[in-house]
Amino acid sequence: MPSITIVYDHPRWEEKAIISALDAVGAQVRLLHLHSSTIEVAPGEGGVAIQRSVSFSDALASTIALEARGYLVVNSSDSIAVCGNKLWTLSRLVAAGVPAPRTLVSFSLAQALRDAHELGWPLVTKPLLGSWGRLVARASDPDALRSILEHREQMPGLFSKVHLIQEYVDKPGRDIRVFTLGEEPVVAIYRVSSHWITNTSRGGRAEPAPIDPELEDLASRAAKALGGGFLGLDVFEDPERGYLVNEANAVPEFRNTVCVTGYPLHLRVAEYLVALAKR
Amino acid sequence: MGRAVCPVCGEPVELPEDVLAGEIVEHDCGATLEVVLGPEGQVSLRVFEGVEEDWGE
Repeated sequence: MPSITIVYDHPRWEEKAIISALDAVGAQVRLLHLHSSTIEVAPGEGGVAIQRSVSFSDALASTIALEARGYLVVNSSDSIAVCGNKLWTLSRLVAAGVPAPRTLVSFSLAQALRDAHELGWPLVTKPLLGSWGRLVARASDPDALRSILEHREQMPGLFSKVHLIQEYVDKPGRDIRVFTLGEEPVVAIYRVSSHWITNTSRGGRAEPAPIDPELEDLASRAAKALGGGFLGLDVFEDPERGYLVNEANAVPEFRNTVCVTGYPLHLRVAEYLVALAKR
Repeated sequence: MGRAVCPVCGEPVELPEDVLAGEIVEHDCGATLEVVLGPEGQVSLRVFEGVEEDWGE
């Protein structure tokens, strides 16, 4: 019987669904609650694990430690580190030829204000780290951008004075979240919202979305560039350029996706983990 | 698993059968609580302090 370790901090619907699915496919489930555990950084027992920690820093640190013990972790520390950093994500995507929104990175407020006009107005500025659309801001003019960046520079954080400035993509009232397993896109949803931030945690409504051949190819190439595993890709539909991959999530939530599509993503994740354990 | 006591209001809190350590529970009094499992498996609750950085859908 294959044994799969679930690494978590605050279990949600997703983690319980994966546990149930692993039971259903005959896997032995080992729970690793990070706040009740210590991991020795040393060669160890190995195995297959899935990383489901809500905390990015706990996810990355525990994955690194488990890899030292010989675990194959979904996702890898490389993938978690890259996907947890929006600049790093974009770097990997564009290096692989995956279309992405045009993005500048500036290292001073003054230089950011000098160069931002290249992207036109409005534009979007976002922190390098973070999810759920938090602290992502749209600036309609230089005065608004100055205010946002001045506030951000006063906030504690490793990258608070590194400014990621991105073109504003005029989305059709929605974006797409595509889930990939390995490098295969398996299911997608639209995140529909009248607000330009469409995360479901921010009120975006989930609807089933088709995966056409172009999106399938794009998502597959993006997943490969970001290390495969189990990923959630955020994709924009640009009226002129077509699909653009904006961000990626290496510990994706998917409750709404299962609800609106009926696709048993938790079961597919369990089957994927068991297949890795049998290799 | 059954019940635990809310550390904020002192009222009992019903917990799901499959409750896990670290699970977040919203109580009727408005408190957001985190499940703590003791070494003998005993269940208690503490006020959830939040997560600094996270992922999403």
